[in-house]
Amino acid sequence: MLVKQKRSALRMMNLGVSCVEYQKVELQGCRRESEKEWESIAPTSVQTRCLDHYPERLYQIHLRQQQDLYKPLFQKRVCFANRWVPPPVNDTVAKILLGYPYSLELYRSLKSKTELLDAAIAVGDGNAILAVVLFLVRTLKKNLVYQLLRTRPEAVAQYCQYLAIRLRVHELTDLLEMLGDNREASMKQFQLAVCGTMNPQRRLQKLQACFKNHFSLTDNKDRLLIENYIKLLDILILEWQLSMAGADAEIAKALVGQPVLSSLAYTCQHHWSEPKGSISAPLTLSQQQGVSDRQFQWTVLTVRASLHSWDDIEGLFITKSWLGGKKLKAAVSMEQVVMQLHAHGAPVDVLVKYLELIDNVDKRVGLAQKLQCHKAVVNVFVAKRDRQALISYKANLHPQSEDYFYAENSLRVSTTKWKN
Amino acid sequence: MQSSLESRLDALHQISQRKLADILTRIPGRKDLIIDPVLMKPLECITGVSFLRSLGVDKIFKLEKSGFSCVNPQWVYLIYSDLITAKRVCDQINANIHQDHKNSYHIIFVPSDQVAIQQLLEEEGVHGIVTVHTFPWELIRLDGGVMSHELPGLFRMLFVDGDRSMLPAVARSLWSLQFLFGRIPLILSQGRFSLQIQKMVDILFDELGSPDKPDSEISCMLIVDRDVDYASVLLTPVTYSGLLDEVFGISSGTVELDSRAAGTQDGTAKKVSYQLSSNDAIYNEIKNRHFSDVFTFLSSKAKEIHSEYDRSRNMALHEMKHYVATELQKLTAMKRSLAYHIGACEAIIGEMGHRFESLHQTEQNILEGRNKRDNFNYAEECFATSGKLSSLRLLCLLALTQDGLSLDEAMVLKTQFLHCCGYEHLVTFHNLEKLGLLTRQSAGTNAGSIPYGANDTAGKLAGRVAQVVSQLPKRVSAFQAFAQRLKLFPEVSEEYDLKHPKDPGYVFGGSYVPVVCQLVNLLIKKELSPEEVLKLGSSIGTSSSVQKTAEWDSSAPHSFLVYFVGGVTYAEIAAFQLLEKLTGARILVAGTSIINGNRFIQSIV
Repeated sequence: MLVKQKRSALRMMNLGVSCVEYQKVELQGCRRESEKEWESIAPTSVQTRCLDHYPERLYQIHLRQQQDLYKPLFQKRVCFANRWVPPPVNDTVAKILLGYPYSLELYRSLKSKTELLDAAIAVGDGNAILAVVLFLVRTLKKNLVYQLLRTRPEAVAQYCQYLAIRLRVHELTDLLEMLGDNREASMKQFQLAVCGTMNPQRRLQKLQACFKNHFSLTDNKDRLLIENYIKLLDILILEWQLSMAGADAEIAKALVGQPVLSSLAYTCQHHWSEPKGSISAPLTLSQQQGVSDRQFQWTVLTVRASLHSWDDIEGLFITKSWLGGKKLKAAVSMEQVVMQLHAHGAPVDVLVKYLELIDNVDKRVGLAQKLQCHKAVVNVFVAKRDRQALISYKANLHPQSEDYFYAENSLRVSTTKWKN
Repeated sequence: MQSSLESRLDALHQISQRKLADILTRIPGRKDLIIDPVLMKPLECITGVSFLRSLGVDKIFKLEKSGFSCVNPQWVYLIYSDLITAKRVCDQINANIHQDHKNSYHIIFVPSDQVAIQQLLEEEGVHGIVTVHTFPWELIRLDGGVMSHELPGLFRMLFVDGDRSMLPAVARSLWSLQFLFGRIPLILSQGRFSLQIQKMVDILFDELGSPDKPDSEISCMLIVDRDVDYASVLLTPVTYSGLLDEVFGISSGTVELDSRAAGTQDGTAKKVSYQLSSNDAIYNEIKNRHFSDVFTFLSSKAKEIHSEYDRSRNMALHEMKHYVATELQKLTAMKRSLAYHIGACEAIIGEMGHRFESLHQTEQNILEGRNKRDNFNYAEECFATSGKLSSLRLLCLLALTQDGLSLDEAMVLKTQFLHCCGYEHLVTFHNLEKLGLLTRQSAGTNAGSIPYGANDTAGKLAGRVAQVVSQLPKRVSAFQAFAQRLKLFPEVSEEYDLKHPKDPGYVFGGSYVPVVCQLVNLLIKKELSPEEVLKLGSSIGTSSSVQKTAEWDSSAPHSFLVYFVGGVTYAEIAAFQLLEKLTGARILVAGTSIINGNRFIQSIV
């Protein structure tokens, strides 16, 4: 009956591939009882257009394995043993590896359990390792499980991953702390507190608890970061949402799930002019969170440029010293600044101003040409006192354009001492 | 010989297809198929909708949170064997049962059944209600000699989480492959997971049988853990296929050209799927070319097609008939393909062009340990101005080449990253640490048995020592020492022409040769014996083994199978294909998935 079903199933699978004559094949170690059945299936089966029978055989092995036809192989091995004596550990692990039915219940002595675990680890099948560990957890007291796991990191990793996915937090933390891996434990807790909690207030509470339990030691290198995170959530949830009304409060809610720089960008856009020290002023937030100069300047630049407030940007990069001289304090490279300004449609005058601040003259000329800021190029040639270059550059400019006249005027200035 | 190799590779698909057919025919009657969306693309490589229909599949749904409306009483789920997805399926089934529906439920797991999932089914009370099937598909041939197991989650599972439950599936596919080709006489494994896979393959040979062929069509197999060569993942490739993957993301050999490349004229954001195959003459020509060479080729091709059309204008009637019947179709197909690739090229330039030069220069400096201050500055700038993936890539590359950053450097970059991408990424840095891609290993936490306090002070001390050491002039890191020993930095001379490469290092603009590619190269030229390869492993801290059968003769191997546990990159594939061309050896490249720098980082984040 079974054979009939199988045969019809195989017929249905005929994929219309051209046939080659079937060659009878024998499989190692799996003949005997199953051989008759094997032959009865074979002639009806389909063949691939490959040159020989290997693809077909490969498929048949798969099929038999799926249908548990391999039992004789293992029965042969096991039958000599007493039913109460556990089978050799390697056989059991191989069964798990191949997906055959198996039972671990007979491994009752601690010694046999240990051997079983070691056999699974030696093969390296994570599935088998987990099966054994789950069995150990079920049948041994906690102390013994920990004792076994302590010297077997592969098993610990496998089990921890399982616990983490199943969200068994307490078991996981207990295990990790018992094994002395506090850092892993704290990270798992942090992950859960932050990524697993959507509600902002809850998240803040959980984070505070997590901080108290895991990160409060002074030598913890992540301590400061977590503290800052708590402060940020504090500001967003408690201060901003309360002090700002209406739409602002809504935005503050949305910012909870976002990085510091988003909040900073928000303050740059809506609270730019607030005095220093006010809780929603950009600089306050930036200092409190320890944002680097580079990131602060870049954020301000992007936001203020998108609002076309070019003057604010000047204030950002150029400070006036007491004697009236100008001093550049840029942490971002000027090329990047110019590109970003250009991307937000800054007028040529503004671009030229920042182009002049690029120290490397070649780079300055290259970028200026790319962005069509001819004035900056002309200025370079004047500074170099290179008349020939200026004349040839002028030839490429649109006659009668503003840039053209600028170049012509520069050539005409009598104070320049041309070198050629 | 060649053709038999090809037809065997074709057989892989047929076997996969029949495995699936077997499962579906065992479920009688009409059924609805609910597929995990991530499985769609790989499945398309194996089979088509019409094939599924012929096996009684009626409606096909994507597995989504929102649910769906099945019409048939037979529900068949097709999902990866992963606990979270399994839980979602359980929830859907339980919800359906509670509504008093009497449907029959089947779950097909790719690639294997797991103890953890069985446990879950039992706990959820659906054990017995649901029939479980497994679908262990064979390696999927993407194009030519390139195969992928399409297990994209595997890298993270193995290297970050230490979860080895997918290793048996990998071993199974390698066993199948050797069953088809004959047992490979020389097998080199590099890395701890590769070793275990090799062990499992041996068990499979014992338990499931081995082929009785006297000789194999592949003479040497290398199984390599991804952590042997992270640099090839992190560096920015310069080949067309590599950049295409970088910008658009190629999944299972198809690329989705979105509005950036396709709908530029009318501005519609419709996506166009495009199958990348060597049968597409144009793609075959440009896939491994240096990107700067691609555009010139495409424009010359465009002119050619244009003149072809012109020629047709002056044709006589009888000529025209012939032309329309034979060439026109080919020409239109070519025109379409040309349009796709030109669109893609433009998008790549738009995306990468502005920073390509400087990025490449910096990468080269980082590799060779030059201008450390500038490199660090560039990385910092990247943190401020570029996306999170590219900045983390640079950070990993810095750490990799200097054998880990100092604690201070790491802290600076970490803080900046958390500021721009959110504090929740603290976990990401913990993962990087586990991979050894952040601070010096002594400060890491991979040894779970050492008490925390002691570990940390030791780490601090090591950090301080390292700081002092790093200030000494001309310090060569272990990475650079290894690279120099293997000659991974090509000598760039006047003749070094990226457009007509003579050296696999061209895939990274002549700055780095992928490790495994160099190993194969040295094996072919017999500059390195298998035993010497074995010794190399210990110098990068991985374990390795050589396994030879009696049939192995000491002549240089001529056909290779290279298998990457944790994924292979398009740059590496291009490098191997060049090596094939240069040496005449046949090299099949396979991996658990196709990976690139961005996907690599994404799987850590």
